Amino acid sequence: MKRRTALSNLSLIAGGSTLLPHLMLSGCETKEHPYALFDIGDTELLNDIAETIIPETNGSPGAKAANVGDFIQRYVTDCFSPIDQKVLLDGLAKLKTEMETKFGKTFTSLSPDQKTDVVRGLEVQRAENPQNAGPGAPPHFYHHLKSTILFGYFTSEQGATTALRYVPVPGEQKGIIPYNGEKAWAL
Amino acid sequence: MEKTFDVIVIGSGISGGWAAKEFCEKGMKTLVLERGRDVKHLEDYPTALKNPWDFEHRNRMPHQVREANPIVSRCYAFGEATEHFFLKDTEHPYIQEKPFDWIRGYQVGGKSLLWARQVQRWSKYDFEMPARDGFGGEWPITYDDIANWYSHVEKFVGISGNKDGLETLPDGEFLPPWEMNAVEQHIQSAIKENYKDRYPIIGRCAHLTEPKEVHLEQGRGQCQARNLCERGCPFGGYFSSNSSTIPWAEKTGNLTLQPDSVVHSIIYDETQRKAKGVRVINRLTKETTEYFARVIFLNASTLNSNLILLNSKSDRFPNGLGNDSGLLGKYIAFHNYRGEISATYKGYEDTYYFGRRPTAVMLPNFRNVYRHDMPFKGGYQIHFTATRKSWQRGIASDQFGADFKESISKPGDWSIYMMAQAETVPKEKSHVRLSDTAVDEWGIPQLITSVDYDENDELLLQDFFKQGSDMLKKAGCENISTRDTGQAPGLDIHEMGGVRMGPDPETSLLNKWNQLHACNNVFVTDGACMSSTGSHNPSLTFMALTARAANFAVDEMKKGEL
Repeated sequence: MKRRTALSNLSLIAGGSTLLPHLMLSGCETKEHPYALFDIGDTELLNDIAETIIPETNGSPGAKAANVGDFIQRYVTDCFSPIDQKVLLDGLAKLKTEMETKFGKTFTSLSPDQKTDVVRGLEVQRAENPQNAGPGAPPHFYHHLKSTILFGYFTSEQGATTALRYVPVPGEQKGIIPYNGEKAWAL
Repeated sequence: MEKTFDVIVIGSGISGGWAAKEFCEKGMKTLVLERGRDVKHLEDYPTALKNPWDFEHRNRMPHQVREANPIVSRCYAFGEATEHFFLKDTEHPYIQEKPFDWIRGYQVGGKSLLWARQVQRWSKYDFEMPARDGFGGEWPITYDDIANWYSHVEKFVGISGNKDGLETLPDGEFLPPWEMNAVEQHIQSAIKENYKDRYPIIGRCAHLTEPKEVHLEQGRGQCQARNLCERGCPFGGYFSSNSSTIPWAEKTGNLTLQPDSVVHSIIYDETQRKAKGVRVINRLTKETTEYFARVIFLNASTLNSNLILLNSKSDRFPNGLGNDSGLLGKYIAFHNYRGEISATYKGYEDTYYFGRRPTAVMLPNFRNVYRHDMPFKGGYQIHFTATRKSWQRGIASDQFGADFKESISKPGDWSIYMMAQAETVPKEKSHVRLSDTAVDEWGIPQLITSVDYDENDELLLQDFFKQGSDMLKKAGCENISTRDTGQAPGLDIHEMGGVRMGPDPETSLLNKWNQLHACNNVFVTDGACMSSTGSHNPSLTFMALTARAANFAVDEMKKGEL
């Protein structure tokens, strides 16, 4: 997407006030943030939310190590429809404001327990969101976020090869093998 | 360059490749014209070995590409890994009088690079049913006319399958079959126990489960169960023109393969009263060249073969070559893929599977087989698979964190997906024709599609929903749910007809050897020749008809008849 188009979309979506810090920030940077719809700090924010949902576990890096935060911005920028982009960006902006209001700091600066509480709150909001309020009612932004986090993680090298079993060339097929709690095949 | 050949083959896809192979093997100097670019086996498969994370969007297409190309974007196989083998909507426009998703692959090999590779022989009932029950066109051939040609093709292509001994789906020349998993075997048993007329089998597909000498000679090797076929196979594990027939034809020294050659029309010689050649426009330079041959095989894919004949106008044939009956472009049909059923199954949690199988379980048609006893015409073949749920079940879950990650990293419960591949009735009003005003980039009239569903399709769909659900219920499945995808004709990529075969020149275009009744040195052996659609996959029949017609043509040429 052309930067000018992206900026005009953003101003339509988020209004002028949120645009200002973004411009100031990018103006100070020598390297421009590659995703014009997002703020430069969003990579860390998204990685931290993603890590809360898919953390590092024994022998398997989490979503942050897989840099899912970067993938989400690329995927939302290029593959989401404008309607879905707006849902996600509005939701993210609202979350950031809430963090400031409620905790006086960013999601990233919260304690692990606080992060868990925030995500649990998002799960509750999603469950209460009237998705069946009418045909075409948009899903809660967290639904988009969670589905993109899971997609981004399990198709990443880290996710596919450590959380799952990635066998690019099986060589043969077996209809029935015994199953004793192993990880799933990645493909 | 040489302009005169023994044979010109228009199109290099699954049937054109077969024509090239048969003619070149028999010593005929053969020109194959392909409208798209060249795609060389192995060399031109840029994504074949890529991992999911190597794709910028993990194999999903950007929104702008989907918006600009709504038709091709609806195809299940269209993604970052395969987009270079699909024609974008804007590259060759057509006019949809009624919605029709025309999915095209314009390159050497055509859609044989992209096909789903399921190859069931048609039974005698598939050929006899239309005439017996009064729909579609009467076939001028029976199963016995084509059985040996099925064998001929199967041996060379390499087809995995089980000898099931079914009258409704004859056995062929098989390599070892793929395996069903535990739940598929369970459903298979339940269906066999509950229904005398229903016998699910493992699908038969064009994959080398155990290559034979003839396959190794082609430079192909064993299928590695990757199931990334549409990218082109680095092992030559599945059959395509690129991996098989075209290099085979090239080895004879008799093949001239010419990409970037858009066929404008077939040239009719009014004095000789036969076709004498083909008018070609270079895709890139737009320069026009004429090529000549004794025999012309038209294998441009169903709708493009119709288009070329409609555009081949002469004093003798003002309405398109061979079109004395006025039926050219009519009786277009397809397979109805609208019916889907999903379900779940509890049990067999202690079993899993390994490798990615390139086929499904198939239930051959059981409707109207021995007599017409249903309120609809034709039949349907059911495909189903059982798989254990993936991490995707985590999206709807309200859980997150370490335990959640652990849980969704393991295989979930079993889920079942079932679909119908249903016969549709060819109708005179279902047609394609040329636009009087709109032309494409090469000055060739655009095609208008006017093909639709009818009441028969709705009845058949409801029967599938009822029967499919009942069978799954009897197998102990739960959460059985039916879905009408509502998709347009064409997305099945099984469009057939328009230049149908038949015994009577008044009601058909082609005779039993696929020759135009009215111009016997032009043969049409792709999907356009089909008198009816049957309910089983059609590509194997296109290949067998092509090999049969090519060998007939060679004999006639040697006798001086052609």
